[in-house]
Amino acid sequence: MRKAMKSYFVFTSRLYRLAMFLLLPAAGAGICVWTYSVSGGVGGGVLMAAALVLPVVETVSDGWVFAGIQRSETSKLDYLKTSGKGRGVMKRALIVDMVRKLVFSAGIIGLCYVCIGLSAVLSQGRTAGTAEAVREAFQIRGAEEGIGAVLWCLIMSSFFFSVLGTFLSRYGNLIWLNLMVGYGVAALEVAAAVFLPGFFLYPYVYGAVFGLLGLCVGALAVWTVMGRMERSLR
Amino acid sequence: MKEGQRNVIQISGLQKKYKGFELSVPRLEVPEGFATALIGENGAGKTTLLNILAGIRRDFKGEVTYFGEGRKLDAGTQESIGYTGPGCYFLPNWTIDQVEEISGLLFSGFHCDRFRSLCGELGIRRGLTRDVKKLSDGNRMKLMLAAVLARDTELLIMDEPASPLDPLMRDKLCDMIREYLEQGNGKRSVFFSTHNIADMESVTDYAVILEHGNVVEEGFVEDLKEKYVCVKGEAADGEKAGKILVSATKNTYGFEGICLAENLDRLAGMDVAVETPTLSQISVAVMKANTSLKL
Repeated sequence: MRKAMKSYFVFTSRLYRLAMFLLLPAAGAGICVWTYSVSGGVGGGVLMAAALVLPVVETVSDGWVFAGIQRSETSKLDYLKTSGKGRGVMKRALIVDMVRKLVFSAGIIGLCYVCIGLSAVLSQGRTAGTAEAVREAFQIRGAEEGIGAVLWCLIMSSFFFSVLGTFLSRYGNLIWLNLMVGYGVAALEVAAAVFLPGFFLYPYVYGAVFGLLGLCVGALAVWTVMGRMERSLR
Repeated sequence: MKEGQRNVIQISGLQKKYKGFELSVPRLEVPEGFATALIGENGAGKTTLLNILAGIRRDFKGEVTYFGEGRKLDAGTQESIGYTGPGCYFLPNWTIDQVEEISGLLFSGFHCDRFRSLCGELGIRRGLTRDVKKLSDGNRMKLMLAAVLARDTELLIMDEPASPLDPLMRDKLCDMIREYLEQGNGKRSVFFSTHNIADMESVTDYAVILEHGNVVEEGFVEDLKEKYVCVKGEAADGEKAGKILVSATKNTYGFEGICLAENLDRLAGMDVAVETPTLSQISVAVMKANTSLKL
């Protein structure tokens, strides 16, 4: 585990670590609470917005870590190939990055949920009836299964679209292109929520499907880079 | 090869085919403890050969062993080999600090303090956002040198290390190679390709000349300088001498060329001056004699 984490972290610059592990969660929670307060208490909508923005952030920020790594010329990775450990380090880094995306989706959306919930409770100035205040804050029309199921679905969809965005953006190494890809996957996510039948009626099912798709695209992303690296040896 | 001389690299029956090109090295021995230059025109197969030796390409026929002990290329052997090359060496968005971190993870014999001191010595500015892609070609080469020299290696394989460097840095590169060899007490070796033969001659002990994927000449520089002589003569003798010389250039005042020392007596009767050639002159002559280009 330590080896895997180390392999991932060597691919990230200090600025990236600062931005992603400190600023992003802080900014995410802050913006969610602020949006919740100015939107008149639409907590569910704010959570959905967070689930949309996260894939854009993941796709753009990936440009600082693995930009263009799926391009045939970049994926030669000569320095890594001159070490017997190089391929292992690369593979572990890519896998950890995919796992991190899942943890981040859960972590950021979960953090937003907690912060908005706290804000809802505190803004009503009461400690009793906390569950009721939280339920009111996250009312989503058509979501019969409750906020837990919605959270699961949002986390998994955010994870899938984050992975899809980074997979597509790794064929290029221009930041504006990453941004375009990020917007594209966010638009796809909106389309999925709007056009998939009963999106909030069956959140457990859709969450599982998105989770599975995320794992598949994640595996494809790892396989693409490692395959290119192996082929460049031949 | 001198008797009793150990080889740092031993190649036998090496073949690597591309469309319209074949690298074929039936036998090549790179002596241990010396700096060996790999010389050849563009497309001669130098980079392919060095990539094979560094483990960057593995799809070849034949056998390559290292360090005179018949060691094949595995993770342990790669620990002892440092490689610098052109093209996609580092990921473009790595910072200099990341190069240090990644090197520490990839190679157990990497010394961070040595890397930092080499970066300072070579004038590489380190910082939070100093991306590798923002470095000039010369500075990128310096960074590669700092990364490989910060490791405990026994063999350095360098693809065109001098090309992106300014004259001052080329001189420094020669010093660094010399120092690297001296510190190894005969156990360390350097194998580098170069087009800047004149600049690298002071540090070259052994030379291998490659043309169309074939080794056409090799030997210790001192032996090559005995094998070949530089001949200068009058224009009137140019045509006759041209048939004997390995290669010659003519002008209105006379001719100048490289001749095999064993053929020198065939120039008897001509008014010629004989000089010791430089490695650059020998290399150009051998390449000219073997090139497919119409010069």
